[in-house]
Amino acid sequence: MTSITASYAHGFLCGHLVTAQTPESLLATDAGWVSKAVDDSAYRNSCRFYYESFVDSILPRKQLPASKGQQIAHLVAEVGKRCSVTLAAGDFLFDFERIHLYFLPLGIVLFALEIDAAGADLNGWTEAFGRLREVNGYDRLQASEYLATLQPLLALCTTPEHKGNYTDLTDTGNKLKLFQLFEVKDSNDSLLYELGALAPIGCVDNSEDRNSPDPAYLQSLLKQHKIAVFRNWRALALFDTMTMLSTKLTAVDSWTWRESYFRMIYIHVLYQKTLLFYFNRRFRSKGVNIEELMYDIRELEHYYNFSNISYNFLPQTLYEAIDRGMGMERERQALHQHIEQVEQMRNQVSERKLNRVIVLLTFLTLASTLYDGTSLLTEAGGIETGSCWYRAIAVGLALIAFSLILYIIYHNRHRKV
Amino acid sequence: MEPISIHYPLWALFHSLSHFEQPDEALLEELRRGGYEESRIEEQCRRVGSKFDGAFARSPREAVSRLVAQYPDRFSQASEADGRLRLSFRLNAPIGTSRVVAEEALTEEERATIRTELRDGCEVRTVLSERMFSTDECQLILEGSTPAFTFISLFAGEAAPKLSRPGETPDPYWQTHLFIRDND
Repeated sequence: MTSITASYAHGFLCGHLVTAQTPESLLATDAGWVSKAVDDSAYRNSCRFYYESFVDSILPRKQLPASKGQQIAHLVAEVGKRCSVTLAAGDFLFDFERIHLYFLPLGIVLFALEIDAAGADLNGWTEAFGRLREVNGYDRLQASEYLATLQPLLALCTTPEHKGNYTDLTDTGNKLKLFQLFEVKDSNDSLLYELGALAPIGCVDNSEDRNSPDPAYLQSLLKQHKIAVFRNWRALALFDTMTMLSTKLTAVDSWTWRESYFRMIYIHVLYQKTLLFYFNRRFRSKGVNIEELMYDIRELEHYYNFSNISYNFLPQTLYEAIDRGMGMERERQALHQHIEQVEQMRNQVSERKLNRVIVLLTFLTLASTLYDGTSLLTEAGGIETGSCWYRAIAVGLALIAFSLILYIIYHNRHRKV
Repeated sequence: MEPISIHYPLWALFHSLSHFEQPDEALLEELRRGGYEESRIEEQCRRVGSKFDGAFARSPREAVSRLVAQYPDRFSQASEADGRLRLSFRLNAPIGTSRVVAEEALTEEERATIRTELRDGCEVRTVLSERMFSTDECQLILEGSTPAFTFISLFAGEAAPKLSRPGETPDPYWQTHLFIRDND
């Protein structure tokens, strides 16, 4: 294993939890939650870089105009705890900085655990975060301070359906997603891959290592998912991780990656991903109200599914890369196909109902015509004057019976086909 | 003796910022990179409290390095039950200013301005004074045990006991010592 240290190493472990709490109820407690709603000045500044509709979808505002309803909130609790994860080679130390909660429409609550480990050995980082991502393994995780610090978050997960277990930290899936930023002395694609895959550092060039990727696979992965716009940084947007590797990270760069690219773009895409899981699950659940589900899907797609988000190329490039990395397009297409199928079935049912009504009206029209026609003929033939209802009925009934027989035969033949 | 290694978490650096008269640019840059907004950093720098003179130290790292160099044996002490090591140092010369003063050091004019007020829910006695009260003492709080520590806090002045909340019996220290306030 190769030893490389990062002068800057900052990560966000992200998940989706179910909670009965609201932002208002949390802020009313004494648990240290603070709202991160932005003021008008910060909002207007964001709208200079991002489309206003995109900003509205992800950034809660302090003073909201009456025209803009908003169901989002961002709360932060400062943690400030030195933690460790015990690995085979020793303890990996890191600073657990703060916990973020993002309340989003349809009751979806995302969270991010913000962690710093400047000066850390990157082998320790990939191994430690490989374990920290797996909430299923938290019962066996040797990280007592970290787990103790998660208890308030677990308390939020406690609902009638969820008992506040570690696995409740991921209502959709079994692993937390990771957004990570590094500054190192020398950067290259192999290191980028190793960090993105949370693999041992040096495994790419060591064919004996069981984690060493196939060269063709690696090339393909980098071609599809690597972002390299400037020489001093490169990034890799994968399904479970988003990694940025820099050789010169200024305070402004660091702020932009955290407060803009992570806070707005990554959280937005993660919300979209969670929504897709959520809708797919509802589609397949018994007793689902299809009308309501389709309405929700259309509403959310209208307000939250963007093809373009920014006036600048870099945020747009990152948005597309993160979207592609999380495999959003395939899942969206699958969802749209489901919607089309449901709509087709609904249209067919409506059509059948309409056909039945038309047939009934046709019969009534026929009967009326028959009645009037019979009466006219008997009167013209001098057989009887006035309405001749009994003959009309007799002839009509005979015709109706005959038509019904024909219809039944036709219908049955059509069904067999 | 094994060299001492001290980790400086960002939140501890941020909180200790208010105790430096002239924090250095490297410290400020580290906090900015760590996610602290400029407005918060400036506000923290302006907070009233004891301050280390720029001539003594401009960052916790610099101050602690001087203490480790001057008093290496002090860092071999055992930590307290809560895992923290609380060290008091008295140096040979003034190293900063303190915002806590003994009542006996006040003038008659200053004594006339003494009053009781609430700060962060605690009752404190304060006095109005324009004088700067220098100090040659400082307090350092670390977590862990030798040789690896985590920096928690550092401030100029003597170790003062905790403040009491309404209803609690105040420590006798606070009957003879007061906080300095700048204005009415």
